[in-house]
Amino acid sequence: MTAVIASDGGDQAAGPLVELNINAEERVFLYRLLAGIFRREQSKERLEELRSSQYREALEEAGVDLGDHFFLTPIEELAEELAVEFARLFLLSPDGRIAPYESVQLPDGSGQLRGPESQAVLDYFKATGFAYQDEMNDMPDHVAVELEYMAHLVLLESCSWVNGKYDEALNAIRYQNDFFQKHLFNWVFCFLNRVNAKAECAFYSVFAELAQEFLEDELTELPEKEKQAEQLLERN
Amino acid sequence: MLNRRKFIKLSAATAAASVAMNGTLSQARELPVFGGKDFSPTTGKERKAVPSACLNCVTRCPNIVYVEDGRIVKIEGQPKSIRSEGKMCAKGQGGVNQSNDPDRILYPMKRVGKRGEGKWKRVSWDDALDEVAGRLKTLRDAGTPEKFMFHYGRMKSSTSKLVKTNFLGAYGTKTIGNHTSICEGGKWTAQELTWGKHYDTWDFDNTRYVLNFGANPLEAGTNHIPTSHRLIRALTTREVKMVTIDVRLSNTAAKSQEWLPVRPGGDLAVALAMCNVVMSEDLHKGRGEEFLKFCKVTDTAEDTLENKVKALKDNFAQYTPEWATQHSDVSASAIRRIAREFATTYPACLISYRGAVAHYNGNDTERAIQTLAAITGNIDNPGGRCLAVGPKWKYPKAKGMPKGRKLKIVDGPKGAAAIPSHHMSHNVLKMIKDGSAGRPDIYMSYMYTAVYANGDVQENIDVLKDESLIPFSVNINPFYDESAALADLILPEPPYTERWDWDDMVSPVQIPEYYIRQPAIPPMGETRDFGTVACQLAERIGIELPFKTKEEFVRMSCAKTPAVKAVGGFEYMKKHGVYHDPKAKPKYHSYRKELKAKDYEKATVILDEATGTYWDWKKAKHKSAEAAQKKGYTHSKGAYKAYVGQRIGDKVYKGFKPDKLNKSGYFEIYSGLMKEKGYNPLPTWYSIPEHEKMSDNDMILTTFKVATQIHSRSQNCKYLTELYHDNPAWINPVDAQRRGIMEGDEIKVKSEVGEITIKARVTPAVIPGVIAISHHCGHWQYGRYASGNKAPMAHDDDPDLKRMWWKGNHGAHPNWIIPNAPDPINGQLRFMDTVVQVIKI
Repeated sequence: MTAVIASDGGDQAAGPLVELNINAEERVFLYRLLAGIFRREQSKERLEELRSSQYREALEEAGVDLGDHFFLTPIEELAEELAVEFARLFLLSPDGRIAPYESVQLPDGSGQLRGPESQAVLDYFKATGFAYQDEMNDMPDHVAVELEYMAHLVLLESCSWVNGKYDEALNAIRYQNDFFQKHLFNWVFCFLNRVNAKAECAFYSVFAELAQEFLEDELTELPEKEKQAEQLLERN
Repeated sequence: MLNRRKFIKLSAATAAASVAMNGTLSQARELPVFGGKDFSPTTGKERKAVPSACLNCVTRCPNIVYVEDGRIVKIEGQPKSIRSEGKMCAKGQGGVNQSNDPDRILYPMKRVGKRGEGKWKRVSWDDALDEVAGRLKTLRDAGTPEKFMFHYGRMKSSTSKLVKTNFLGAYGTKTIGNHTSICEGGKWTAQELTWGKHYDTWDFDNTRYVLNFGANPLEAGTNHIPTSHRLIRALTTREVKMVTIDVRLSNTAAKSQEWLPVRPGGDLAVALAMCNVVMSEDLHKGRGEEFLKFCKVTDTAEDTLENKVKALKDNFAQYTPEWATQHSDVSASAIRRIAREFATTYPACLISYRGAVAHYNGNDTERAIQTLAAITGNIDNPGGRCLAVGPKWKYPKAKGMPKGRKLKIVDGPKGAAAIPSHHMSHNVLKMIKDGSAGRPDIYMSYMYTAVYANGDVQENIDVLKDESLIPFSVNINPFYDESAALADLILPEPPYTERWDWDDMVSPVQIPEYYIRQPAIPPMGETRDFGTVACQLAERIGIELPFKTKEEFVRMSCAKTPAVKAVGGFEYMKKHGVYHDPKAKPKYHSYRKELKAKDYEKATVILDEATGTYWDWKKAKHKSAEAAQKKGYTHSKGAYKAYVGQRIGDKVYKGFKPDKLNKSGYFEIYSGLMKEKGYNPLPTWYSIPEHEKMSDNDMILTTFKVATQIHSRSQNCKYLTELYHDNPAWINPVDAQRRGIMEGDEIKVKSEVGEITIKARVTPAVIPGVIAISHHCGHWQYGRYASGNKAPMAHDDDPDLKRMWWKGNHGAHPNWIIPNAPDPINGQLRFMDTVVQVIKI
């Protein structure tokens, strides 16, 4: 179904629609940002961007305080320090790394790297028309890939709102909700808690908290969004 | 949503920067429409998704059937169903094999050799229908329609209304046997005696405690998946405590916090003792006490609370926990502790099933369980044991129905059961053999393999084979099962994946759900929906029905049912499969509804002083109010159909509306009907006579069901039978050692009616003195996957036939050694009482 929003404001859906769309656009970038944080070590270039005045202001407004150390430490030193921390947290650690995979972190799951949960996530991607190709040959149930997948779905939603395809927007929201409930929700909070507890650098604990807050919000908002979108579709 | 505003700038900054993750995922094709879509893993081609409904078991969950190139390839749960919430059990998913079974019967077949010899010829539908209709017409024209017996099993919803209400009603036979007494008919009778209707819903979503007497909801049950997934959710996410009382460590017992092993039939002693604890410790005070207002506890229509409490205390005083230990082997301390926990945790849900009720004393076991729920205030409340709520379909009915006639063969021998309100199907063949109440000339069976599913298999075979006892036998069946093999004519029906129905199973959320079954593919071969066949028979006999096919019946029902019609009727149901009113509120405490004066002050409504029941004398077919008063509500045949309300104090309530029995509108802990039949009106201990006379060497046989098979109609499903095809007998190490039996040994299990050979599973998961054998296995027909035997006219196009690694290993069937003995009150087949001897071969 395709709906066109009347330019004279006569469309009752316009108000909520605008809100849903703006909301979707924001969420795309937040998912992408978080995926980028947990995917790999931060390059100097990426760190420079994160330290830019524009970003610093945005982070502060979002309540994210990375501390003076992050902004004042020479960039090469900071990159090295965070790379070591990344490795300690997620790659190799004498006291056990926090493997960022659903198959390992899922409470009561297989606990195995490349466990059946990895395949289930890959199957989900395939079933919804996505191809997975990773230069690092990593697992599809990596937290960053699952967050990236959510970003894709939210982007599809956002584009559908813009194009007036309410049914497609609702469809994309349903998949977001479904994937969130079947996968991310079941393990990501446990994972983020562990990151927060183990992180020695504020960088990772702060982003773990940000992710936690954002995803908790998603948990309550996604079903609401689905309802709102259904109502919009019914009205149009 | 607005609390996200603080993220706006951050996301905007991210949009402008390259800090976001580089992509590992790329979109290869459009996002498919959410839900109800599936694709071939080999070709990527989209499969056709048909919203329909399962019928592998009685739960009848809404499902989605997927079709690829005209073949049913997968079945999944229906995500829109409020009952199943999209969940589907192995049995439901295994239903995919029903359509593709290479041993399916695709054409009408007529016996050419001796009955049971296995020689058949194909006949046309015209010939088959002409023969059946001709014989039916002859009986009807002779004024003996009752000589046509129809014996059915899993015939539900629209099929039942079309075949039973319309076709059989218009034909005029009431010689109609069902199969409920081999399921849980005894439980239903006990419920009809207490709260009127049969069927209890367990509100696991809202409960805080589950006490289980012999139910196995995680593996089987009449509302399996809708309740089991909710129970798992309650146990895991809310840490609700469950206690299971069972002779066997079922998977439900294993998932409970406590398993209390009990002696067979000892459930009644435990339930009575728990009532004792509640009453003697005054734990009924509060909600239990409040509920007693709606209970009949003495022989007085309206008694005081004080008298009611005294009557309960007096009745249960003798059943102390220490007394119960002697009859159940459950410790007195456990009984006391669990009774206290149950009574002081509100809401608490009391559940029960065949493990507790398929005994000689099953009727009062269920009555005692009902009483325990009542005196703790856990009846029809959120989180408790609730009256079932299902959809109310309207459907077309034939006009001018004749007064039906019947042979008195469906309730068992005279005096065998006092109140067989769900009949005694396991004694129908015995009654035919006996002949004193007459015999049918035509015996037609449908979705009921009486020969396999009843006890005393050899007797069933002997009767069904004997042409002098049953001159003409017709079986309607998609498969060549044990009943089909003993028929004279087989009318082939498509399995449920190729049929039409509306359906109406009860809802665990107390909100009705309407749903339909529709063919995912056209019926294969020449198979015909039996509903349509009934219409065709009617036409040949000269009976006018207001529809010509089952599809038309379903379509008309959709148009007649207001809730369904309002959303688009048949077309809506075809598209969506299920419907419930999104604004509907769960239905609890319906008995508390006060009636308006206009409801009971009608000219035809009178008060029965003896019971406090308002009833409509005209509906009860009395000639006048005076005649009705004289006969009284309780003794007027079928008066329950004329029930209006129950007077309690100065008000009239909807109360607990009766169904099948003339009880009052009270929740009858005290049953006047039981008293009239010579039984104690209050729940009472009865020991099992055979168990009293056991020698040291004897054991008790109990039976059970597993999660991957239906009682008797799923063993042709290769996926399920690959999982479960062998059923070794569970025997406790103490009993095994005593008999020199080791794991895997062949043993002989012998009863008064026969013996079987079976393998032993030595396990402490069954109590000493009891041997446990599951149902499902030991078929000698039902096609190659079930029994290894090929059906006549079967085909060999299934490559899995060559991969059938369990060939020759099909388990043993316990019913060969279970007598068709009934509960003396309700007629239920006593599946769990048989005394046996067990020896190593």
